[in-house]
Amino acid sequence: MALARAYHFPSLPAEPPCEDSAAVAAPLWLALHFPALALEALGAAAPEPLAVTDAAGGRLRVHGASAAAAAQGVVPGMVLAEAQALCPKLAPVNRDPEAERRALSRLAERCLRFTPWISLDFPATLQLEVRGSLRLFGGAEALAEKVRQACAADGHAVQCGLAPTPAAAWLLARAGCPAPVLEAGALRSVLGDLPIAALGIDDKLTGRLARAGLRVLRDLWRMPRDGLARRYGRDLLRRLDEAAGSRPQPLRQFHAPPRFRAERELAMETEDLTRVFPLVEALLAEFEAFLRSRDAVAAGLELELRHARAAPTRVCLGLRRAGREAGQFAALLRERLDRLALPGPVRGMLLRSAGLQPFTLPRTDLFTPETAGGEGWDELLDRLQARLGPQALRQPVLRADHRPERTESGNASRSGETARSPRPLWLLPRPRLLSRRDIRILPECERIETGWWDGGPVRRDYHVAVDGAGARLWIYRDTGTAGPWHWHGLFG
Amino acid sequence: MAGKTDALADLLERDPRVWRGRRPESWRAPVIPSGHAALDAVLPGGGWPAGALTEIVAPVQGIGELRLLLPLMRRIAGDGRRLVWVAPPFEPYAPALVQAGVEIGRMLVVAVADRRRDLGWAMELLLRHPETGLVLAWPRTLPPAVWRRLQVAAAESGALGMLFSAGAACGTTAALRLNLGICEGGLELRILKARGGFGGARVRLML
Repeated sequence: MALARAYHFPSLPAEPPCEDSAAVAAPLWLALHFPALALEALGAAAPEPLAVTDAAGGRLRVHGASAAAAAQGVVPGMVLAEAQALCPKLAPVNRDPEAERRALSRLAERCLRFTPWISLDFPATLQLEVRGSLRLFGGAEALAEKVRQACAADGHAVQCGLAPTPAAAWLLARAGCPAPVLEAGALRSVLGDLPIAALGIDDKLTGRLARAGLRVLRDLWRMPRDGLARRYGRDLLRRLDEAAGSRPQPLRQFHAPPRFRAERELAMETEDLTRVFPLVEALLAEFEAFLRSRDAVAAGLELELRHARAAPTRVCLGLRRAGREAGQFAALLRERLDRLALPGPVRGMLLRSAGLQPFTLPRTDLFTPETAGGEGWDELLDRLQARLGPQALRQPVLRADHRPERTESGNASRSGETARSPRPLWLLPRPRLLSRRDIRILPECERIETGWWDGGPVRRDYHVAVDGAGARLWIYRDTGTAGPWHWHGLFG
Repeated sequence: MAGKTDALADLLERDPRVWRGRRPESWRAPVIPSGHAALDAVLPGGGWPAGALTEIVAPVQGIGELRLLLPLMRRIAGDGRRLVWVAPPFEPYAPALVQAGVEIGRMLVVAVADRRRDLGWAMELLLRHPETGLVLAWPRTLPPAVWRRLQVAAAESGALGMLFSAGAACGTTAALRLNLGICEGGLELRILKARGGFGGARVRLML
C-alpha cells in the first residue's frame, strides 16, 4: 500500500494552444513533373522525329514525342499508325520503364539537397515535402526556380506545382499552373477550373463524364458524392478527396542508395604499379569496412587511375556473385592492372562502388558439396575473365534453330535442336570453301532448309566426307546445285 | 610358409614402389574407366589416370580424338564436376555433345588470346579448382616448369588434364602418353608411355 501511495502520477498539463503550430506541421508538397521523361530517359535528344511508344489496349500508342515529331502534329495518346501517317519519318522507340525509374531516382538524389523527404510514388513525378525548406531557400518561388535549374542541368524539362496535398501539387504541376497554393482552404477554388482529364483517369471514364456535361473538377464537387460513387466508381471519389486534402494519402519516402567513393593522391607520380597497388589495397580495405558496416555486398567497382597529362585510366570490375572481401577485389584488380598499358605516370586514384546490394547468406544445399574455404566456381570465372577478357568465357548452349551456325552461343534454351543425323563435335566459326582434292564423300545426305522468314535463308545438303589423312569432315553445298563445297565441321 | 606368402603379397599390395613387372593391377593410383573395354584392358589400373596429366598425340584433327573421350566426358558431367576446354582449335558443337549424352550445362570453353602467357596460368587455375573434373587443352608448347605446376595442380584436385599435341612431345612427364592413328574402320591407339605399366601396347577401337 505504501508503494502505491509513493507512485502518484500527476495529470499531464494539456498542450498549450498555439495558433500556427498546425500550419507549421502541415506539409507542403512541391511536385516536379517531368513531361518528357520517357524521351529523356532514352537519351533521345536527337533532332529526328522520334516517338516513344507504349502498348496500351493492344495497340501501340505514342507516349511521348520529340520536338520534331510534335511540330508535325504527333501528340501523346495517338495510335502509332496515325502518328506515322502525319509524320512519315517518325521513328518509334519502345518505352523503357527501367530507364525511366533510374532517371527519376537520379533526379531524386539531386533534389535531396532541397529536402530530405522525397517520394517517387507518382508517375514521372517527384514529390518534395518543402514546408521546412521554404525559409532557407527564400520562399516558394525561389525554391521552385532553384529546383527547376537543378533538373535542367541534368537535361530534364520540368513543371512545378506547389500545394498542401501531394495529389493537388501533382495536378497543378501536370496542368502547368505555376501559382502556388499554400493553404488547404484555397485548394478547391484553385483546382476547380482544371479539366477532369488532369486527374489521370482513363479516357473512357473521361468520355462518360464529358457526355454527362462534367468537364472541370468544380462540376464534380457540385455533384452528390454517393451518386458519383455509384455511377462512376469509388476510385474517382478517392482521387477527388486526395486532391482536396479531405483524405490523407500516405507516400513512401525515397532513400538514396548507399555509395562508396574514396580518393587517394600519390606522394610522387609513378608508373610502377607495385608502388601503386598498396594504395589500391588500402582503398579496398576501406571499401570492405564500408560494406561490412552496412551489411552490403558489391556487384562491382570502378577504379580510376589519374594521370597528370592524360585522361584517367578506368578499370571497371563486374562480379558474377557480389562480394565484399577486399582480397577478392584485389586479386581481380591485380589481373587487370597487370595487363594495362598506362598512358603516363599515376598521380592519384579514385575508387567507386557499383551495384551495392544487401548481403544475403549463401544458400547451402544438403546435397551439393560445399567448397569451404576455397574459392567458388563463380570467383574462378571472375578471375579468368579479369585476365583473359570479357569474350574469353563461353558455354556451349543450344538454340531452337536448325541453322548450324545459329544453334550455339546465345540465349540458352534446353528445348533446342536435337538432330537425328550425326552432328560433328567441332564446328568451324564460319564455313570455309573446301579446297582439298583428296576427299571421299559418303552418300548419306541431310538437307537443312530453313530461315526463309528472317533474311538468313539456308538451303543446304550436308554430307560426311573423309579426307586422305582419315579426318571426317562435315561439308555442304547449296541444294540442287553443283556449286562449291563448303567445309563446316569436323567429327573430332 | 603360408603366412610368409601372405605377408609378401600384402607388402606387394601395399607398397607401390615395389615393381612387379607387367602386372597392371598392382598399380593403385586412382583411375577413371575410359568406357572402352579394350583400352581399359591395357591401361595401368584399368582407366585414365585421375589427378594427373595425359598427353594425346594426334597427327591430324578430326580422326576421333574427341569421340575417344566422350564416355569420360559423360561420366565427369554426370558426377556434377566441371568440364573445361582451354584454347580449342575449333568451336565445340553443342548439338553433337547433346547427341552424345554429355550434359553441356557443366561445360565451359575458355579462349586464350595470348597462349604463351595465359594458357598455362588458366589451366593451372582450372585444374586446381575442386569442382573441375576434366580439362581439355590444346597447347602448342609448354615450358617444363609450367608442366610441373600443372601436374601438382591436377594431383591436388584429382582432376584429369588431357593435353592434345600434334607430334613433337609438348611434355614428356605425362602419366600417360598415347599416340592416335587411323586404321581400317576406326582408331589405333599406341601407348607410348604409362606410369605404372609398360608402353608399346596397341589397341584398335571402332568408334
